[in-house]
Amino acid sequence: MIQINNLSFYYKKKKPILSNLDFSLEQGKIYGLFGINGSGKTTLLHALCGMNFPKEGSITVNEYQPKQRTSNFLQQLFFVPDAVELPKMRLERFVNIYSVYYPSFSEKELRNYLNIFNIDLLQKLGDMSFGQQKKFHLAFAMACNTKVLLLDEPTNGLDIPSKDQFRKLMLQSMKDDKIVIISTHQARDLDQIIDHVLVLHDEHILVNQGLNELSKKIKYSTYENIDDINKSLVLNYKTSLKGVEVLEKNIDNDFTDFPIEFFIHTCIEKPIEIKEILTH
Amino acid sequence: MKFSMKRFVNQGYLFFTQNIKTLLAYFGLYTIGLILVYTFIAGVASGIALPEQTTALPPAFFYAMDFMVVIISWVTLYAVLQHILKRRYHNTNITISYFLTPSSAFEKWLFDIFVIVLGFTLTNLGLMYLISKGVTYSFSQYADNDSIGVIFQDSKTLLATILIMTIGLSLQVVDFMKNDSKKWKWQAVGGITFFILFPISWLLDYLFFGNTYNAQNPFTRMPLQGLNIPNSFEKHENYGITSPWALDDISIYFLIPCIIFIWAIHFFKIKEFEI
Repeated sequence: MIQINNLSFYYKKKKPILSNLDFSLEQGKIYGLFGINGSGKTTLLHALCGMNFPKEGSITVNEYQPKQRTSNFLQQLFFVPDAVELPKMRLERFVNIYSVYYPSFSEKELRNYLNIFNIDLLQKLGDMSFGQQKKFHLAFAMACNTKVLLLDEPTNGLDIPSKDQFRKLMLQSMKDDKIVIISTHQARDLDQIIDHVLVLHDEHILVNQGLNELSKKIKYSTYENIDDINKSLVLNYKTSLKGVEVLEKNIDNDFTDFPIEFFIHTCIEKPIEIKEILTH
Repeated sequence: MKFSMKRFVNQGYLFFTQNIKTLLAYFGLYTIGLILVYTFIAGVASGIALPEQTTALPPAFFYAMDFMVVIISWVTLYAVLQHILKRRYHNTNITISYFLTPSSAFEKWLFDIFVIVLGFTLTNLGLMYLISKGVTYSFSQYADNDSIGVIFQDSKTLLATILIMTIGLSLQVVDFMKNDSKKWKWQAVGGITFFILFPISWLLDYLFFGNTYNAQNPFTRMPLQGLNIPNSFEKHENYGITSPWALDDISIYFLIPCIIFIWAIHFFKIKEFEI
């Protein structure tokens, strides 16, 4: 479990990045962390893995204080950064060197993941494209079976089939005692696997809700004509080939597919309205 | 968590595989450079090269040449490590960055001290020793001449050189343990550790020895070190400081405590570093 109490972080005191964040994350869930550029997503991930220390407040990850960076804590956490730089060696050698650090590492799982990603363990990392390197890194991260997995823009650089494979593998590798946090702008790539949405806006957590709860409060509908919309319920709308896509208050308790990308867009455009709906 | 030799050795694999090209290029060029420079010095000293000028060259010339080799090799090593350490400590895109590698702070500290600081210092000097010996041996006339590889012939000078280099590299490593790479004052201090000793040498000489100690140019020899120079009767004599500021005393009472202090700071910096 990750417990964040009154977390504040800044590089310059006058320009805080995170202010008084107060929330907890439970095991067995995949969290999607969203926000505009510079909203503090990567800063929050860095704070969770102990690379940044809270200026105020505290963070507890599975009873460890990340800022202490004890080896026991680091063995339970894997952070995959946005841009990956891998040493130029054979994958097998890489695995032999790095797997030593992670006691729950499973070579069998890694081989399975690499098989799905079509990557040969005898390849050299230096000969692989950025996308292949990223796939290998993601496969290795999942095979380490750490209790906390932090992924920063994991689908950047992946082709369309690989994104699909990544989603399948993510679900396959998920366990009850594991917390996965995925920070991304590509909400559409991951909306099928995310259980819980976190949106950072203006230094604060604007949304911290499970998809089921969100679906109960907000629904997605399409209308043929803009005049068909009940404007008192509408949060946001856009016209597309489907007609008019609308995100509106769910007063009928209808259960619809939840378009995360559209929702995030609405959060950024109308944060006050979103906050009002979610707090009621 | 207990110390794990496997994790410690793995740090070595990681370090060397990530920097193999830089290290091979550096040590390759360094070796070639040393062979050329020592061949030139030995050639001049033995009269094979520049025979007309050789007789006019004083021993201090060779001493200075030898010391210049130490200085240049130091500057080169420092520059190469600057590149390597920046990547090691500040690149968070590396698979598992230095600070997130699940080794204990002690294992990381031990690696930094014994492999990077002491390892590079000793390898640098070791190569210098082997090449100077090899080149000297190949010039049979020159084999009996002690002017080459001076720092290796005097244990005090050698110890002081090792300790000064260790302080310099330790300051360099410690100064990377901060996220603002623009503030590089300690790296600068580390880089000029050798050069700082020149004015100190001159000042001590001026204050306590009435400038007699520096009968030769103080900027062309190992600071705080005695020099074999001709006296007023044209006989070669060893001049050296025998005050409490003698080289071995400085090593024991000043340089070693300095090193221990910097290493202690480094250990806490590993724990406290933020990106």
